[in-house]
Amino acid sequence: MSEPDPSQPLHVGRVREIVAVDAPRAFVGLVWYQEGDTYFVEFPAQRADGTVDTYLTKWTFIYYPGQPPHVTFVNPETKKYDPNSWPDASNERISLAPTYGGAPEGLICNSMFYDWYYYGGHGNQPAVSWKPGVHKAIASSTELRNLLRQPHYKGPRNAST
Amino acid sequence: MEIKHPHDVSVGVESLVTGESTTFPMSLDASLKETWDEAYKKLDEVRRDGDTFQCGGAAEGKSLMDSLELTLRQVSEQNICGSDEREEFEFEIKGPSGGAGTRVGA
Repeated sequence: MSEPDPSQPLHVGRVREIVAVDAPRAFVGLVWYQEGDTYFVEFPAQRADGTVDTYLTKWTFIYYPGQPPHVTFVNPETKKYDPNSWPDASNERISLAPTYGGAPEGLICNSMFYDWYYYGGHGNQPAVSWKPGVHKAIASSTELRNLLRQPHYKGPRNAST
Repeated sequence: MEIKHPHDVSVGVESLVTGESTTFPMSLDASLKETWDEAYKKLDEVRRDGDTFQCGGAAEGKSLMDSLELTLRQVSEQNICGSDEREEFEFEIKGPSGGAGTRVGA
């Protein structure tokens, strides 16, 4: 029997089985919980003065593992997408756009996140693209962990309001 | 079964691409590049263009790409990965990704 094509969508039951393995690996050391097929994950972010802020993210895996997870920052009270709940951070690989064109829940601008392919206007870039059958959710969580460290993290985006 | 030499240390490497981890013995006099190469064998992965080698543990995320010729002994003595521990080392392999700086046609 031939191996399934990793780029093709899987049955939802199989996706759940895969995510049940990959998500805990991706979220090691982080506070996370699951509601149905949605995962909520807290990421600590350290400011230059040592203050640690916490951001709640929402992860869904509809097209996983053929495509990366969709991730957005959410309001910790409502657990809904909220542009005011996004951090102010960027590095050479990733930038954050709490509101961006037609992206319904903002844009984490990096190739390890689903929306990058559909709303970011980046075209086909094989060298940095998600590789079905190779990349796992840990590649996405790693980008956020790195982004929210110094010197990349500046503070809460809504700090002045 | 691998025979551990008295001068061997334990090296743990996690692939931040696939999520797989491995632990294996290396000589303290092995270079970081040799350690990185050995990690791919143990993980049964091949090096991808743009892969980088970095500290795990206390200094997680710190790039080692400018230090690949250093031995594990030097990494320990120079406290490069945030620990002077000589018995166990933790490293990570990170894959390439792109972001705002790689926009096309925008």
